[in-house]
Amino acid sequence: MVQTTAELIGTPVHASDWDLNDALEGGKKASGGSSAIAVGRVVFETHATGIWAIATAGSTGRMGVIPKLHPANVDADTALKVLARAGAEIFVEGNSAAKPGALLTSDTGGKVKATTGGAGQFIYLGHDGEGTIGNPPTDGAAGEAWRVRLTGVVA
Amino acid sequence: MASTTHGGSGLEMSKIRLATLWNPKTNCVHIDDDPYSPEPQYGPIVMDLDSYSATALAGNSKTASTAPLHQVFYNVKDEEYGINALDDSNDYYDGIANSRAASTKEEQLYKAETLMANKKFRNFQSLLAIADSIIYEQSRSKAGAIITSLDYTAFQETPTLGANVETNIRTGVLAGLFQTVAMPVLTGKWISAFANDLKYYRNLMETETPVPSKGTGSTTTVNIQKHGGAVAITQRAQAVINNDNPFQRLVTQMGQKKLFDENDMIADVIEGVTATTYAGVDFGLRAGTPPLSSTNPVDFLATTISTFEGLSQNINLFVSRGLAYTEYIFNDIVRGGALAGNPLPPQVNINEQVSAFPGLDGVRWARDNAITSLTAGWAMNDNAIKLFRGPSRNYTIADEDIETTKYVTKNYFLPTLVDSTLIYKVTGITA
Repeated sequence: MVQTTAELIGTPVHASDWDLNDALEGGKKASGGSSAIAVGRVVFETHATGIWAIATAGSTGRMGVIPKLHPANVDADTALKVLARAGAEIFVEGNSAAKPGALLTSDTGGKVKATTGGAGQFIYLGHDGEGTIGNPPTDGAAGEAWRVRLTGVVA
Repeated sequence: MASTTHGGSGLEMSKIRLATLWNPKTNCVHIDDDPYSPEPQYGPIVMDLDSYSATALAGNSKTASTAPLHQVFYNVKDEEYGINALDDSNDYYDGIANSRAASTKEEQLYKAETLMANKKFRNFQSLLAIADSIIYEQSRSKAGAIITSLDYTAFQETPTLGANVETNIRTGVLAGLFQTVAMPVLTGKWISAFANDLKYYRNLMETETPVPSKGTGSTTTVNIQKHGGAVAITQRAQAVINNDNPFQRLVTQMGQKKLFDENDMIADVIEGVTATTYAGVDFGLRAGTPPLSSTNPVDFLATTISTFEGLSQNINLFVSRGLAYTEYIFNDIVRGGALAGNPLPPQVNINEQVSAFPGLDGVRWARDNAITSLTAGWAMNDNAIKLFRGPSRNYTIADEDIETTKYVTKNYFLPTLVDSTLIYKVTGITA
């Protein structure tokens, strides 16, 4: 059975030292009611405060993704772990159409969309199970779980 | 006590039969022993036990009582019909309150005895004793410390009771149909054809020797690719998922997935044959009322035989989806006519099965729904396709540093059409 978007997003792609360890970064988070950020959502760091928050369209700063790893952050937490280093690959939810290799940026609700120009914070690599010569990547559509790579570009 | 409403059989007392009257408003029985008496005598009252409770009576405070005292003791709502219920009830309640409020135990007992000695309240007292016992029983049954399902929630877990059967991964039958060629290296040549151009000379002259003649040969280069799959799990996931073992289950299924995919690759090679083709007949076509088969497969059989008899090797394999086989064996002409009582051909599950082709000796019919074509089958000699297989590697690697266990299977495999002359696509065998 094909996994749903909700089941996939936030899952690190590779069982590797990079995706599961080195690319994870600790950061600050605002605490309080409804401040928890769900796994799989794109977050951005406000440079002036060093606080990560769920990204939306037009967010600026460094970007990362909340990984589907224990423990997930909760409202009361003032810290979180975010997959933020360039080269890491993870699944996030797409909110537009995208061609393989498309540059992506943040969109509403911690999703990503193809950029209309300029640099992107993520690269669209395909869907789950895609990316080899035998299983080439296919175009992405809104609502799907996209396999993306972090570029390290600051928005 | 026998009673009737508004006069009846009466109350028997020391052989004197007294007329009785029950007033439903006061809930009292009136002993009407003297028809000339200006005031009736009163019999036992009926107490409202439901209204009697320590809480409703509110201790010593008459005004704090939520239960009207005359309702408790006389079971009447109002003071009427000649009974000063309110006054009597208040007197009795005051007597209780006075006893309770006494400063010494002796005084308390004295006041209680005085109250109990008053014959006017005797009926209250006997009924109160009953009410007390009932309330005590009720209070016992309303135990407040019973363990409910909302207690001990930390100790409640939801165990897995069982599971539905997971859809089986079909591994197919195609891989067993063709010869597997082991590859010591990942690239090799397969001799696809030898041809000769030998000349044989007639009527040679005396002393003349024939000139030599020769032939040619061709090869196909085979490069096999690597395929694989992996399953990984974190140590924490293994520690917390206690109602399933997803890692082991999925590792087992990955082996089936590999077979499924290899079978699918073979199906792709078979279905890739479109250059050599001939038309079959629709085995399942029916017409008339009742509908009977309107095509005769013998035309297809004859075409098949004539197609292969000129080739290097005869047909020995036919591959299609299961539906084509079903329609063939249930074809009325193949069955020998659709006569009443004509037995049905023996049949089992037709998908992923290989059995003899009825009507073609030495030919196997392999049914596998990995073949996507809904209308065509492929007739061949099984030497048309070879399965080239390189080394396989299966391993489980545990990385303690990133707390992850990963199973990997890597396989080198390539089904190849090595002799395109030995396989034909037969179109239109099903519709």
